[in-house]
Amino acid sequence: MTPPSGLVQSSTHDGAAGARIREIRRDGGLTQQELAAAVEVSRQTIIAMEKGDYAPSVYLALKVARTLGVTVEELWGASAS
Amino acid sequence: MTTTAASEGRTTFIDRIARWALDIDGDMYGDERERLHWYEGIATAAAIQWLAVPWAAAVTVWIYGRPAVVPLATVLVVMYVPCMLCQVYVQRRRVDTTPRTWSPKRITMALLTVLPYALFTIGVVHATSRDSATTSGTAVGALVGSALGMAWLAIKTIQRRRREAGALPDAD
Repeated sequence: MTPPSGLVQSSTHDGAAGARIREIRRDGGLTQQELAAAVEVSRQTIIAMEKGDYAPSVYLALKVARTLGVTVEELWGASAS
Repeated sequence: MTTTAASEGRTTFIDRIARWALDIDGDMYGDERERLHWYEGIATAAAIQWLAVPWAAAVTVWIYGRPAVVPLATVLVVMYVPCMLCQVYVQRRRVDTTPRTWSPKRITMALLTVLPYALFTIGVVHATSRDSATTSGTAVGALVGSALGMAWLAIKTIQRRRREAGALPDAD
């Protein structure tokens, strides 16, 4: 059974951003564990972001974007339009 | 993750307690997502305790009488002081704790919060005096006091609405 993601999550389920994170991460040859280590969070947090269940703080979003070599706008911006 | 310092910038004893308890720069709560879930869980537990403990005390003092008064009063004080710290903590961070509206949920919560303290006070008087007139007087006093408290909050709500309705300059 999948545990509930909890109350702290994106107000709008952002699966598109999550899919972009997963795609760019895979293109960059990173595993979820490696990305997690690079941005200093748990693998579960990366999984939650990729599922669109967790909207990270600005600080974490910047870390993720920089680690993946893209901008925050490229990851989370397009789905807002 | 960081917490903003209190609006006036001076670090107080409460700020130090909060920093220690929140473990902002530590690893007690994991990363930011895990931390937020911990905070959710802790807030939920606190919300339950804030209701359950006073109600338990209010009921217990009527059951066990005088011997239970001092221990239960101690528990309530220990319970109540952190609640006050919570109010001070958020107010120092420019959170207006005056209700903007009185929804049915808020009214219910206010009653559930205030009533056990009133019942406990009446129970204490009943357990210690055994005089029905004194108990009745305390009951009236507790009810009037509770009503005055609610009226005071209602006035604060009206003041808040008026304040927010007025045009205010930007806070720089």
